[in-house]
Amino acid sequence: MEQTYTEDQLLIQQIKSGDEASLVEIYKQHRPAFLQWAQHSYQIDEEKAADAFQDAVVCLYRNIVRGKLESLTSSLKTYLFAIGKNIIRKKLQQPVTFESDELWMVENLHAEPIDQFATNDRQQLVARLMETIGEPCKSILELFYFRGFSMEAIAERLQYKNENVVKTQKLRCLTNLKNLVRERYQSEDFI
Amino acid sequence: MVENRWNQIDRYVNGSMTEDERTVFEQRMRENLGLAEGVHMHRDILSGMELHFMREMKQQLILSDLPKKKIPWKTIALIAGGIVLAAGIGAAVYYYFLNNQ
Repeated sequence: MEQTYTEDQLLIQQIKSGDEASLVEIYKQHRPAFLQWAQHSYQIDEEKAADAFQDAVVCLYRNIVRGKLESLTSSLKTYLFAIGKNIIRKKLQQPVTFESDELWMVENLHAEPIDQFATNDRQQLVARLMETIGEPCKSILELFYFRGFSMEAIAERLQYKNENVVKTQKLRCLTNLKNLVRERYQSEDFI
Repeated sequence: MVENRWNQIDRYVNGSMTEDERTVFEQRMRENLGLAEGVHMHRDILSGMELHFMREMKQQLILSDLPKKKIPWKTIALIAGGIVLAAGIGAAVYYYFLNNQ
């Protein structure tokens, strides 16, 4: 029998429309069960299990924003646990066995530990520079690149006159960031 | 109008170019190492930004684990009660000496 997972679909829609509280709701709802399961299944302490679960929720968010969870074939909990399992496997550098449906999920979804995300010094540098760029650049770049908002939605959220103003501002922010990276990356720290 | 190079790179990296535009752009990348490096840098910038926002989101989740601070009404009531009591005793002592004089 095909299930529809209506409540989970609703949560996904809320997250896509920018409701951050729904993600925290998912986090709080599944955290105790995941921690118990992970500690028991992989003999890891609570701190490590919680760390993996936080990474899993962030990955779930990225998958939702990128439209990879448009129609659910399992419950959100099953997706979340499959992502979490893959993250534990990568953190422990140990083979973990997957059920066939879980395998499909981890192969098709983003399921990486956050600390293994950046692969080079320049990416790490950009991440550090992002802490210093200030507003409105931080919000514009976050809403566009991380939260998947359209230019129109950003204009509405940040109260800009129209999307063209946002486009110009975004280009300015990226150019400034690019110049900063170029300046810093060529310094002696990275040679 | 000639499109800004940075915009072109952005459209190439996020996959919003048409098939024809993409073919021409990739040919230009092969001929122009500066353009190829621009694309490489753009990808690093997007990944670095992503990493930053992922870390921030994780931090928000960690903060949501912390118990919300409750207003310590009990402590406030005890302190307030103490102050009222001390003021009462002080006033009583003051009037006692005032009357005796």
